[in-house]
Amino acid sequence: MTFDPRTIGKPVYEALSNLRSLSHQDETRLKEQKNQAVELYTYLSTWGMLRLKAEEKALSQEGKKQIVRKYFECLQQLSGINNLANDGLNVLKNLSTDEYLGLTGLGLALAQEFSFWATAVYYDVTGGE
Amino acid sequence: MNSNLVYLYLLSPLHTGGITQEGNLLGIARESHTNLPYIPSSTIRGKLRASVGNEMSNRIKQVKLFGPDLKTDIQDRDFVAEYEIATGKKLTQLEQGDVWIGDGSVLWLPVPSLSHGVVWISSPMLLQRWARLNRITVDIPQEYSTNLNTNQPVYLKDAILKAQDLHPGDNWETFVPQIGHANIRRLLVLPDQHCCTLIQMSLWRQVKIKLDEYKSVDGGFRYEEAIPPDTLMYFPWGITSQVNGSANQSHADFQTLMTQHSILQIGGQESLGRGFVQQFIV
Repeated sequence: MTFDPRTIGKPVYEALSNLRSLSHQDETRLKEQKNQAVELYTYLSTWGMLRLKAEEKALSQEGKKQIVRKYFECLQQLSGINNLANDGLNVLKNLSTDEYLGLTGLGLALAQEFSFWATAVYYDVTGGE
Repeated sequence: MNSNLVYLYLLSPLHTGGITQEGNLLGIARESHTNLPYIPSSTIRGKLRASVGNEMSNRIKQVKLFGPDLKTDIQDRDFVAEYEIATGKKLTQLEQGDVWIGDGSVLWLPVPSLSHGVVWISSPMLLQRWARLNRITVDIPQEYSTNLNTNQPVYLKDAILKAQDLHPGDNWETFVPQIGHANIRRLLVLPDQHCCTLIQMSLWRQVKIKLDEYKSVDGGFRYEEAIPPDTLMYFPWGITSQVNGSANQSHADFQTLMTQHSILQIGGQESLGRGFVQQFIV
C-alpha cells in the first residue's frame, strides 16, 4: 500500500518532537521554534523557497534556524531531491522552473503541516515574539 | 444541467471564511478537490437573496426565487396570506426556490510580474471547467500559451518562464469576458499544478496585530488570506427542476435582480471594504 495519509504529517511531527526534546533549551528558544514553525507557510507563500533557504543562514536566533533546517530536511526526505538540506541554495538555484514550482507546491503543503504540528507539539509554549 | 453564467470582477480583496485556521493564519474557503479558493454558492445566494428588498412584492419575488425563510416568511401570517393570493400557492414549509446558484470559481487571477507588472493566469483545467459550464465547444489554449510577446521571458513572482517555453495563443477574447472595470490584458495559461501553486502564492495576505492597553503588540502576528482584487470569477445559475410554468418569469426576475445590483459585497469584513465585486452577465 503506497498511499498513506500520514506521509507528510509523520516526518514533521517527528522533526518537531525531536527538536523540542533537545536538552538545554530555555523558554525563549522554544518560543522561537514555535513561532518560526507557525510562520513558515506565510513566509514561503510570500517570498518563495529560495529566500526561505537563505533564511537558514541569515537568521540570528538559533531556535528559528533549527526549524528552517528541519523544514528542509523534511522536504528533502519527501521530495527525494538530494542535498536539499545541506547545499539547498545551489540545488534550488539549478532546478528547472517546472521542478522549482512543483517543489514549492509540495513545500507549501509541508509548511502547513509545520504550522499545525507546532501548535500541538508546543501546546504549552505561549506568547508571541 | 442548463446553466447561465454571472461574472464577478473583484474590486477589493474577497474573504470568505474557510475551515483552515492552522497556526496564525485565517484561511479562506477552498475547493476540496483542487485546494483553489472559491466562493461558496450559499454565500452568493444569501447575498442576492438579501438584495431583493423588503416591500411585499419584493418579498414574494424573493421567496419565489430563493425559497422561504422559516421565521421571517413562513411564520409571518400576513405575508403567507399575501403570498397565497399573489401566487396561488400555499406556503407551509421550507422549500427550494425557482433558482439554483453554483459555486464561484476562479477564471483569471492576477500575479505580480517584474517584467509585465501584472499577468493574469489560468490553467487548462480552469478554462475547461468554464467552457463546460458556459456550454461552448472551444479549443482550450495549451500550457504556456500567452498573448504576451513570446520573444521575451516572463518573470512571474518567484519563477522565470523562458521565451522558448512560451507559445503564442489566439482567440483570447473568447476566454476573457470583459466589461466595465475589468481590464484583463496580459494572459498566460500555466499547467494546472503550477497554476495552483502560483495562485496560492498570489493570494492577498494581510498581517494583523493586536494591541494591548499600552498600545504594544499583544501576542505575535496573525495573517488573513483573501482572493486578490482584479481577479475574474464566475458562478453558474439556472432554474431548478421543480419549477412548473413560471420558469421564464423567474429567469427574467433573476436577470433583473442582477442588472439592478451591478456592484455586490460578498464575504466578510465589509467594514474594511472587502468583498466588493462588479458583477455582469455577458
